[in-house]
Amino acid sequence: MVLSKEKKALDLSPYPDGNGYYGMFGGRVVPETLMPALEELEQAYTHFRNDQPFQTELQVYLEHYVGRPTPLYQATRLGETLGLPRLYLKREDLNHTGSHKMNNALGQALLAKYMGKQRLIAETGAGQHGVAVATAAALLGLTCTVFMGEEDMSRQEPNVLRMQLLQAEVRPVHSGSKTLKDATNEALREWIAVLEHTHYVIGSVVGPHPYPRMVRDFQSIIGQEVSSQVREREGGLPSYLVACIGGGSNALGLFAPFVQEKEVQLIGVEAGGRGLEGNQHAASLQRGRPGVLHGALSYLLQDQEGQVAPVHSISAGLDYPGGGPEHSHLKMSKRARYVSVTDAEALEAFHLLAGKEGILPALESAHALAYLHPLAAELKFAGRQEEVVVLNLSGRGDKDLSVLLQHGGAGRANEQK
Amino acid sequence: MQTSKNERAPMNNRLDELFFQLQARGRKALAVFLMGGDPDLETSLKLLRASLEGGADIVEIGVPFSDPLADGPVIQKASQRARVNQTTLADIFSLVRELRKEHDTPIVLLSYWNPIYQYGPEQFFQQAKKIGVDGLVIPDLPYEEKRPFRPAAEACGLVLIDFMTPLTGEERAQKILQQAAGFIYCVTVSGVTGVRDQLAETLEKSAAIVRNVTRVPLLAGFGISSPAQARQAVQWTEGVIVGSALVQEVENHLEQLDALPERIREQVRGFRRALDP
Repeated sequence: MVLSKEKKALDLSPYPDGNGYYGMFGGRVVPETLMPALEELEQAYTHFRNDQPFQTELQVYLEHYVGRPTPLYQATRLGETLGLPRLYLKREDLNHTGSHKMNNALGQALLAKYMGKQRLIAETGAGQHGVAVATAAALLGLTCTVFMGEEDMSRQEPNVLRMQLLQAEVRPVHSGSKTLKDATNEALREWIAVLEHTHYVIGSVVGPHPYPRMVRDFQSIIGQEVSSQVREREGGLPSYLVACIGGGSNALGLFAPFVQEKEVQLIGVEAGGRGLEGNQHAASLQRGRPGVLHGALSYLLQDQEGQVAPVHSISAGLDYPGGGPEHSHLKMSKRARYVSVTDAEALEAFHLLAGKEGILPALESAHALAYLHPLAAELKFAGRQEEVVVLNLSGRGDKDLSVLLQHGGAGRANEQK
Repeated sequence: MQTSKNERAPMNNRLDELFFQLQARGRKALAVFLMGGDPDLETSLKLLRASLEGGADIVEIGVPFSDPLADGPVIQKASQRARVNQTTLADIFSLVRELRKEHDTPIVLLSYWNPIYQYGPEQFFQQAKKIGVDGLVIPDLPYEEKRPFRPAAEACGLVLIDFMTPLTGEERAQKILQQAAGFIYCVTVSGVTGVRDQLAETLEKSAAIVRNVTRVPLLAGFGISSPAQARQAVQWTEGVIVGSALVQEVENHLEQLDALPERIREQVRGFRRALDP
């Protein structure tokens, strides 16, 4: 009964249209060389998303291998500190491999296998998507190459090692800013060169159609579970959904089943880096203009001439100059609200969650946590502290230990006390 | 040969005129690609002139872009060199203006879509046409995304070049080719630079598909790196586009810029000789 309502909500989404557009955003702005592969992928996805054996196999893996459903945890001590008594954390950090990325990586890897592909390639920023794809490849008997910017390889070193231990090849990317954007360029170039037996597993709700839709669909299990978990615990809908946004896959996975429920407020938290005044941030949905990168039209940080701007975030997973096309549409249509927090605020939130709940969040997820301060203030002002707030704890923080050490490590946490 | 805006002559474009002339003389077309502003604006103009002196029939000028995802390392680096020198779109337009003062050769701009989109597509088309550009190659704008912009380009007499690739099936090719004008950019290999056997096989197949639908000339690009390959390619096409080979030459001689125009002239001459009977 619960399921049928959720299904209906998803199918009600009018986006994307037949050409892969979400309002004015999205599309397939790619070299002609890629078009046959994208058409093949779209056909396969359209077929298998309604294919019983495929869905059954995916469900079995999600339940018994990934560990779904993930808990919805009421964070009482953190909630008390913040003045949000009904604060829940969706524990995507408890998925196998440590983040929400597994939902999509497994879905796409299985699809690739059903399509008869033998090899997976992927881009990665923080390394969480790369690890998830390497894991899925091992599980399904596919070979795997992950493209990763040199700078990200050094700041997320444990994940590089994990991918290698999973027998994936990690190919360093030296071009451009040596981060996620350039790893994506390189993965696309590789795909153009070898597309016949290779599937490119894009890790976020970005890229040419059908990727933004497919990634959203695979991630929307997050929101579907939240929907029934909140109904069970609170007897209704949540009032606020909060998630961090780089490309935007964990946020859209949480938001998607609620987009048609107008009373649910959707809040995406971008990387404010060293502040939005300069160009040391990655807040594309707040500071960008519509533009084309990686095959889709979306909000993009760029200069006057359309050159993609360098971006900055302490978190490698948010260090990306564009917000996916569906987020761009949610922003333009004002259905979702996009805000940001700085590197320093995210670090503080990391330590707060560690101290209050015994959970080390990924620095990406720490951005969403940091926004709980202003949200709590807003709710207090409106006398609505009792509202149900669900935050997507998209990943765990083990991968960020070296970055945390550079920023004072545990000493910094003790200072805060 | 410059036609005014209101004139609807059957040949209102330097590209059409060129191919008409070449065909009449039984010759093949040599299109040359260089990145605008690489390694600097002044040298870049000299290199374009040199390639015309060497016998290029069409010059294709690249607009530098931060994320050239259809390009291999050689052209990526050229783009990067031009961007380090802060080459702007205005600089590229000034290159076109200078060349246009001296030559009546067709000029094609190669730009990724975002710089054009930010400029405003219609304004870009009008400006390009006004300064003497004949066509645009937009490597990341496939048929479907190009369609809405075609009328605006056609209205000012600017050709939007279409692509054929080794994986373009017949059905898709039909759609693309029915719209094609100027010339068709035939990608000879997917991705990496060419293996000759694959070159022959691909071109034979693409040429057969194209000839069933249209008489618009076919030019082979991506992976034509030697005069011998160029000679082989024109068995099935009306000409070739040579890019990476020349840009690599630029990269190899960044310390000897004075000698570079002569080198480019000679290299282009080598390709010219390979194409001429």
